[in-house]
Amino acid sequence: MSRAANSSSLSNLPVLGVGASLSLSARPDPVALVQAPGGPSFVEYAGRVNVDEVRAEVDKIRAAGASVLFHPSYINFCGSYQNSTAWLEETARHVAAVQSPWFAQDCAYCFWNESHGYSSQLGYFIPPILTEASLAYALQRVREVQRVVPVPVAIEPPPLAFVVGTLPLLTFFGRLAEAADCAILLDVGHLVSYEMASGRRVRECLAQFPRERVIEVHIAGGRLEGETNAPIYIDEHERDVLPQAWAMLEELLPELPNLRAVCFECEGASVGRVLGTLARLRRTVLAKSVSPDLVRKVELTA
Amino acid sequence: MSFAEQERALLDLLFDATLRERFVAQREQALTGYDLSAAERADFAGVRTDALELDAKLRVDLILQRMCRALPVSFSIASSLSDGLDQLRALIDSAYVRTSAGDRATHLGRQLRAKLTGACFASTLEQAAAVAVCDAELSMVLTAASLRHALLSAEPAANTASAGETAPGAGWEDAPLVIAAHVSIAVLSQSYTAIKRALCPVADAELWPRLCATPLPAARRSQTLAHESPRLLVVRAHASDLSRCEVTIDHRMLELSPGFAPLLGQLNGKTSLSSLQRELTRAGAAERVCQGVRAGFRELLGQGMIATR
Repeated sequence: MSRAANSSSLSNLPVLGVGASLSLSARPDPVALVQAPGGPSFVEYAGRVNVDEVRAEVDKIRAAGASVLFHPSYINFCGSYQNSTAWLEETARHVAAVQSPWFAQDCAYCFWNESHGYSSQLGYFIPPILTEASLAYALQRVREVQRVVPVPVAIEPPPLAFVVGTLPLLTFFGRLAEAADCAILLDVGHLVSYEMASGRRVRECLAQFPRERVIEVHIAGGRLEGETNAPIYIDEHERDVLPQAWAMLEELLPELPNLRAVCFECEGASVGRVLGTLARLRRTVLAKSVSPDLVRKVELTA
Repeated sequence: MSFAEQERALLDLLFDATLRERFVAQREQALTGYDLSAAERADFAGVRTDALELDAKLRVDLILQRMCRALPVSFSIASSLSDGLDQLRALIDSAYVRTSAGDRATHLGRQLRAKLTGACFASTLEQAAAVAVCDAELSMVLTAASLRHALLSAEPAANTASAGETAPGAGWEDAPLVIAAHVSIAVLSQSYTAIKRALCPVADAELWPRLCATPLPAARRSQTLAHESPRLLVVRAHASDLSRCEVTIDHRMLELSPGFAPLLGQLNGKTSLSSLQRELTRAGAAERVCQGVRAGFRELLGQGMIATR
């Protein structure tokens, strides 16, 4: 059941506003946060493939008035290792049951060979090789998911400490999204990591990048390692959002006309930090975003 | 020349420390063992080697944090050895990551056991105690893997035993008994629970970061393992969560007097508790001993660790 993601169908996707990615059954409590003044308009969560494990909590979040997005870490959206039919069908069941309006995940390796499962088995995502051959395999992987999952698929450039391959990141993802006719999720911290890993600027390829396909943006905490003049960006959601990530967000928002959601990935953060960051995100969206639907949504919830 | 070879090289660069070292020193030369075209080798030319090193280190630590939960006491003991933490990190290599996911904990446990067998302890007795604990934890890993495989292969009888306690049915004392499926049994120098309490100061999920910050002191290890109060550890793996794609395995534990070991060794599907008690009585065992055996067997049956035929 493929869902095309051309501009007009993307424009029909619901506008979710500014939200938060949280761990279900952990602090901060998602329902309490949704109900708090200035709380998230939607809740994104990772977790396991079996929807029966989370349905009760997801239902509470939806009953509290927030939409949910399922954003796991077990699909291979790149590479030569096929996804398992069982895992894909359970994903489809999960997405349908929680009414996630789209299905997004990092375009990376979560498993190797036939060890289907979560990226934690490899430590975390292994990023794609940025070459033509890799692009062809990534297209196979995305289509494999699109054939089964009943909502539009969005691919996300993962965090990268180093780069293999010579295709610029946004060239790879732009061409993949066009060929697969899918949507895109951009994580500003991941883009910062790519710039530090490659020495290239994301902006170099922005003009040719199908910006209208970007429906969601992520922002999260991180830290820098290495030498001051050659830092390495490490994604770490428990930490504060770095100035480089805020700067990337402000640079990108004026370029994304179809943006439906901005998500603060804040698993384990205090309520105060979540609400404070959501407030800043809303101010930034109002100041910089060129997506009229998103701005309208944020104005209504501000 | 192939993309698959590039994937193989990428995985090895992340998990093969020797290859990575050679790559940092001389990247072109390091990749000659892969069937790559010049262009495919050139794709690795832009890899930041400092970032590659950091990435590899972070991954290994995250994997060990997960794996530590399956073998907590073994990890703690290993951390107390000379270069123990580095030796543990070295276990997460290309061979480990290429092992099927369901078998990785077993693979790791066997490698860890080999390390403990070859390591230097204060005495051979201490080493034997350490290896025995590792064997017990490895057995739990094996039964978990076996049960996981059985359930995901859709063997309907694989998890029929209830996860919780059930009262034995009437006449159970006369029924032939067997050791239930997915049960491991070990005799340890003392209670596993006591060893774990002494050597693992935090919850399993937090143990690896704790050991990295503060490895177990060798003196504490020696002091703990020197204690002799033998116990029989009986553990049954059971599924606490089962779905189409995955299963969560937990363990139920029972610790008994080591005198139960030879009794359990006789459970061949023909021997009942009654017949065992008759043998004990003939051998001169006191009534309270027979009652103790009955109580222990009742508990084993209730916990699903033995079963009536």
